[in-house]
Amino acid sequence: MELGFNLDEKFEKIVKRKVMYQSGSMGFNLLITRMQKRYSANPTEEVLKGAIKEMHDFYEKYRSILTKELEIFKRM
Amino acid sequence: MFVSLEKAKEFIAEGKILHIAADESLLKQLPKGKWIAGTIPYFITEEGGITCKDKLLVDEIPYAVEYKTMVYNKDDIVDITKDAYENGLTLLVMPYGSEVSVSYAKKAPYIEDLLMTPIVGWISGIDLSLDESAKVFDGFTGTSFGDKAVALHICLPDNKIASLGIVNIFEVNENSAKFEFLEDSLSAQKCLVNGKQVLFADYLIENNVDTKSPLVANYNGVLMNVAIKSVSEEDKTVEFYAPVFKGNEYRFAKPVVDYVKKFEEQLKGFEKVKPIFSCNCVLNYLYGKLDQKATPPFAGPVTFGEVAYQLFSQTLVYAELKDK
Repeated sequence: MELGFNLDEKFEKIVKRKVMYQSGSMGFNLLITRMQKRYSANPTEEVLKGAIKEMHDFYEKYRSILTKELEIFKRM
Repeated sequence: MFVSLEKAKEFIAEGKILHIAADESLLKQLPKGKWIAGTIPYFITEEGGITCKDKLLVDEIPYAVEYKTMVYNKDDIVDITKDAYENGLTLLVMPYGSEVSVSYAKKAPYIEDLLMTPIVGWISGIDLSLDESAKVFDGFTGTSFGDKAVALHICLPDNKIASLGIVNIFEVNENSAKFEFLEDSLSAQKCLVNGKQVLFADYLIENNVDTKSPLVANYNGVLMNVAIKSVSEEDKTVEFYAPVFKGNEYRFAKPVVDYVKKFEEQLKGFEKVKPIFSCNCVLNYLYGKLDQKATPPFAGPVTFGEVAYQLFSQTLVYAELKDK
C-alpha cells in the first residue's frame, strides 16, 4: 500500500526524539524506548539504521492493529 | 472460568488446551493433559476478588492452530523467543522466588526480538499466611517445578494477531525526586537522588516515604512500576519486586487514596477489550482491598509479578486477539 510519505523518516524522527509520539500499542512504546535509549547511548548511523529497521519490522508485523498510527505519522 | 476440581478434570478429559491457576493441593490432583498452571490461592473472578482453595481458574485456549510446551531454567529462559511461533502468543508462568524468574526479570529487556514476540504471563505465588513455595505445572508431562518456568507457545490462526496491554492505576508524581540506579538489580543500596549519591534505604526512612507507592519509569507512555518489597535500615538495602535498570529515571508514583475507585476510573478506558488472559498483582489485591470487587472486563489470577513481554509489578496485564 502506498502511504504517501516515507515511514522510515518518521521513525528516524522518533528515534532521535525530534518529535513526541506515543503509540496505542504497548509493544511499540516499549520498542520506541528501547531504540531511543540505544541510539542516545551510541548515536551512530549504524545504530540509527538498525533502530529504524526494528521499528519498520514491528510496524510491518502489526500494521493491521496500527492503522490509527498512520494518521499521526502522516502529520509528523 | 472459575470451576470445581471435577469440572477442570472434565475439561482435561475432553482434550481442551488450558491455562490454570489454583492452589497447589488442587493442581496436584489433576490428570495429565494439555494444560499448564501456576499456584495461587487468590483470584479476581467475574464476581469479584476471592481467596479460595477449592476452585480453579481455568482459561480455555480454543484458538490454537498448533501449540507446544517448553520448560525453561535460569540459563535458557532467554531463548524463549526462539521457540515462539512466528504469529503466536506465549503464555509464561514462573514460580515466585525462583532463579528463573529473577533471570527473566533482568534479562528479558535485552532479548533482541522480545517485542516481536507477544509473551504474557505471571509469577505464581503462595498463600501469604503460610510457609509455602510457589510452583508451576506442566500438565503435559504431569510435572511440577519450583525452580523452572513453563511456557505454552500457541500458534494463532492467520487471520488473528495477539496484542498485549497493561492497566496501571499509578501516575508519576511530578513532585517526587528523580532516582537513578547504578546497576540493573532487584535490590539497591546506593542510588542517585536528583543526581546526588545517597543510601537509598536511609533516604526512604529519613523522608518517611510511603513505599506502598511504587517507583515508576516512563517507557514512552507505558509506566513501568517497581514495587518496593522491603527496606532494611540494618543492611542499608532496599529490595524490589521487579528490577530497576541502570539508565532509567524513576520517580515515585502519586499515592492512591481509593484503590477501588482508581481501578474503576482506569477500567473505563478498557470497556471494549476482550481479554483472553489477564492477571493482577497481589499488591493491588491487598492494598486495593479487591476481595469481592470485580474488575471487568478483566478476571484472572492474582499474581506475584506480571509478564507482558517483560516483568512488571503492581499492574494488571492482559492479552487479546485482534483481527488482522
